Formats: sequence, C-alpha cells, structure tokens
Amino acid sequence: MTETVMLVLPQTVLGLLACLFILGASFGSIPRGSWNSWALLGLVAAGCTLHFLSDAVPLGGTTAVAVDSLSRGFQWGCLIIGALFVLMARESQAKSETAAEFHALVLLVICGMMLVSAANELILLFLGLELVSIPTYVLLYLDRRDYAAQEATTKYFLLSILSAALLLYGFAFVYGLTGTTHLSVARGILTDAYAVAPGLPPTGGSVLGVVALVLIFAGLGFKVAAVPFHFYAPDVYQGTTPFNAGLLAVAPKAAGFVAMIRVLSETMVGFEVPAERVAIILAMITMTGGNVLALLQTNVRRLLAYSSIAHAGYMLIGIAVGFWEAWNPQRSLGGETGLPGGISATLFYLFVYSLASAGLFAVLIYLPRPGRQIEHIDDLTGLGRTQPLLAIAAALFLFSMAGIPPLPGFWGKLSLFMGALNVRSAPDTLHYGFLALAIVGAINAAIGAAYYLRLVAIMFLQDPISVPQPSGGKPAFAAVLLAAALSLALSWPKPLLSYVNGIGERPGVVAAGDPDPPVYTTKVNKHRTEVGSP
Amino acid sequence: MEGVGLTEYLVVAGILFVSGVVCMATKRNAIGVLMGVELVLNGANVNFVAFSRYTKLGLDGQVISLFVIVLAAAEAAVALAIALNFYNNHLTIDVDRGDELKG
Repeated sequence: MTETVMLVLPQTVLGLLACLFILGASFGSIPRGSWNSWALLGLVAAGCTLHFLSDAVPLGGTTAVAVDSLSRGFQWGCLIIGALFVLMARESQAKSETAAEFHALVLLVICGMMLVSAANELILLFLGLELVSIPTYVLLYLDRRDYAAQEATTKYFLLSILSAALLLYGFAFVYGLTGTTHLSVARGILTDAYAVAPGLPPTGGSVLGVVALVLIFAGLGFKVAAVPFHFYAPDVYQGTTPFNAGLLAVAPKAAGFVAMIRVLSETMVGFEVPAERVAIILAMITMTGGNVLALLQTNVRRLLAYSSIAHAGYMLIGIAVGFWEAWNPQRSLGGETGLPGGISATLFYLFVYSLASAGLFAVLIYLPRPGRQIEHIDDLTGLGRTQPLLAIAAALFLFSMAGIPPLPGFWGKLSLFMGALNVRSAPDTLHYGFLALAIVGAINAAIGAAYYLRLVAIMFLQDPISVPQPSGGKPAFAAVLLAAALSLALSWPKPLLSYVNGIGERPGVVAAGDPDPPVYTTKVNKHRTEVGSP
Repeated sequence: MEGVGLTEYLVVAGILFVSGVVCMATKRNAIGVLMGVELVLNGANVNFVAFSRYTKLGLDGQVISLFVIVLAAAEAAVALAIALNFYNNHLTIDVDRGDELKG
C-alpha cells in the first residue's frame, strides 16, 4: 500500500499543490503574479521526486501503478513540456484574477497525463484520462468568455465526455473478457487463452474482445483527434486562446497515445490482427484527412489543428507497426520482445511533435498586440524582418513538423515510416498493408510540407504589413527559445532514440546521404519481467 | 423468474448505450445531451456490475461503477456551469445556436 503511494509521489505532489492553489486563492493576500512561480517550483519538486524515486522503487510486480521505462520517460516529457506551458502563461496570467485556479488546473492536467502513463489498472487509467479532460473543460471556459469560446467549450465538453463513455464501455468488455481490471494480469490471462507460437497469426480472440477493441479505439481516437473523430478540433482551437489550443494539441493527444499503448498494445494479446487493421485504416484516413484539410485553412489556429490531426495519423503508423511486432518478434528487423520499434518511434515522434507544437503556440502567445489575437495567417506577414529571432524559431518548428532533415521531426518520420517498411508478411515478402501505409505516409509528408512552407514563405518572403507590438511578455519568448534549443539539440537524435528503443544496436537503417547517421537500436524489454498471472 | 442472467443484463446495457448515443446525436438541448451521456455511462456501469456479479470475478467491477458514478457527478457540475454560461450569452441552451466556428 505505502509502496503504491510512493510510486505516484510525483503525481501526488502536483495534485496536492493544485488543491493548495485553489484553497490559497480564497485568501486574497497572495499576489497574483506569484502563482506562476509556485507552479514552476511545483514542477521542479515533482521532477526531483521523480528523479530520486527512480532507483528507490522495485519494478514490475502487480501493483496498480506501473513504474517502467515507458512511464518514467513519458513523465519526464510531461514535466518538460508542462514547464514550457507554465512559462508561456506567465505574463498573461500575471494580472488575471483567476491565476491561481488557472495554474492549479494546468498542474492537474500534467498530473493526469503522468498518471495515465503509469496506470496498470483500468480504473486508474480511466481516472487519469478524466483528470486530463475535466480541468481542460474549465481551462477552456476560464480565459475567454465570448460567443466563440462558449461554443468551443460546449463542443469540446460534449464530445470529450462521449469519448470517455465509449472508452468506459470498451473497458467493461475488457473486464468481462479477462475478469480483472489489472492490466498486466489481464495480459497474462489473454496470453494463456489465445497464445500461439510466436510468428504465427493469432487465433483472433473473441467477438467480445473485438468489440472492446473498437470501442477503445473510438474513445481514444477522440483524445488524439484521429479522423473520423477529429471534427471538434479545428473549431475548438479557433474558439479559444492560443495557450489552451496549444495545451489541447499536446496534452490529450499524449495521454491518448500512452493509454493506447498501455491498454491495447501491452494488454490485448490475441487481438493483434484486428487491432492492426483498425490502426492502419485510422492512420491512413487521419494523415490524409488532416493534411488535405489543412491546405485549405487561412486561420492559423485552424491550420495548426488540422496539422495536429495529421501528426496523430503519423503516430498511428507506429501503433499499427507495434501491433504487428507484438506477434512477430522474430520477423521484425528490430528483433527481441518487449516495447516494439513501432511504439518507440511513436513515443519519439510524440515528444518531438509536442515540442514543436508548444513552441509554435508560444510564438502565437508572444506575438499579438494587446487585446487582439493572431487569427489570419497574413497576420504573420513579414515576421522575418520585424522579429527575426522569433521568425527563425517559428520556421524551425515548422520545418521540424514538415520533416526536413536534420531536424527531429525528420528522424521521427523516418523511424515511423521505416518501421512500416520493415514489416514482412513472409520472411522475404513485403506486407502490402504496411507498404501502402508507408507510401501514404510519405505522400502526406509532402502534402504537409506544402502548407508549412507556405507559412515560412509568408514570414520571410513578404514585406511586413505592420510592425508587431508583442504583448506576450519575455517568459513566452523564453519558452519559444527553450523549445527551439531543445528541438535543435534533438537534431542529434541518437540519445533520445536509443532511450526510447532501449539497449542494443540495430544495423541496416541508414539514411542515404547522411554522413553520420544515428544508430538505430533494438530494444530489450527489461522492465516487464514479471508479466502474467500473479 | 429463472433465466435472467448475464446476457439479459448485457442486452439492457446495450439498449441504454444505444439510447444514450442516439439521444446525444439528436437532442438540441444541452441538458438533453447531458442526459444522453449519463445513459451511456450507466450502460457501461450495468455492464461492469453484471460482469462482476455473474461471472464471479470479484468486486472490481462494482468498485469501478462507484468511481464512475462519482466521476459523472463531477462532470455534471462542470457541465451545468458551462450550460449556465452558454445561457447567459445566448439566452438559450440550444446547442445548435453555437454556430460561429466553421471552415
């Protein structure tokens, strides 16, 4: 019992702090500007507990909380991106009368994401996802109260709650199928029931399991904004503040993907074939839908919304490959069992995408003159002359999202697409589904480059219409620079790639023309030694 | 009445679920939509409790449904605040009246 509490200590720190904020806000003596510093301090404290816990707790076992390399890496990512977001809000919240509540809610969202990544139990997973969603509804409602904002809040709320209900209905079937809410126990039970010799196609499971699978995919599809569950995203991004739009582009998506990995990839043994098909189809339509619709947009936040949808599609490629690798460990070039290459690539891409998104939205927070937001893409005209440093940083994020080497977005796309190309239906035959997936992905990367480059062209090749009067404050500018520095550092992706991939070398994946390619590595699952029935 | 078993409960839960989704899709009134959500959540709850009761799986399912009931209450609180704010601006809670964002 105490051990389980210890395992979620970083989340507990954040949760308690959020409660203290809301309590403290009732006493007027605390200056409004200080909440931001307290929130940053809280994130640092959570980081310290995470760091010192790293070696202190036993791994594996059948606790409700899974502390493994996935959860730990994801939690560090949450804290870093979370700190960037808190920094961005510093100036705009300095005089806000709801500053305390605002920061409390942001901390709760981060806490929820960290809980989801560590959940080894359906209840905890579901509550973690809700801890991401419910504060987001309130955040959407706090900062902007005009007509458009209310419409955005209402839409997001109703669709998000429907997705939660779909997810819960799916969980009910998982529970009925396995008789446990404990994910690694469920995995053991499903392995006993459906396991076949590695490399043979799974027997297919049961109808109940497939229904659960589809419902969970639908529920999480809303969170990650996958087509056809995406339609709320553009309206909501447009109808809210840049900060909220940025948070929505990152937090629910990250939580949705990590939940997908926890509850589908790591649990649903025996259902890999239907899962793989669903993921391939979702990935294809999501990439294409997002990119094609993004081409038509003239509102910056709508454009970024469709771009975030397209990126969810790319990440679904990794999820699909992950399902295939789960029952084909010896055929994939990655070899070994455990956290498969497809999923590692998704995690890498998730971090890279979050960084670029956070940076871009920080630009949108910093740039506008008081009382007016950046709406039309022409508002960015000539930024290269009026705000050179900011424009260069923005171009860096856009290039990274477009996948231009050597920026991290390129390495992310490369590992995702190579993962799909490495799939074999027989030892020497390409798998046509995955081949098509990789081709559609590559075409989409080209379509995506079109609208990212159009933005860059508007910033650098056109004469400025007016001189901007940035009102976002120095902290937002610092957040832009920090995100840009991190993105640049990740242009040397080997440390992070080998972190997500685990240990071991993986020859054979070398980018043509790259003088010093990163070494792709296989992964050995060290942390999950005791998976199975208790 | 013999023969009321797991299947019957699952059918009831399925009906609740479908009614909820249909309700969410067709209702114009924000509160009506919210009631649809409650139906879907309760459909899932019935499933959990039925699985828990009829397949001797222990109390996990019932614990989940308790959590979900509390969660639904929390969501209803936020939902009512949002609906109230919507009403203050639009003087109606007809969700179709929020139609400014398009593209």
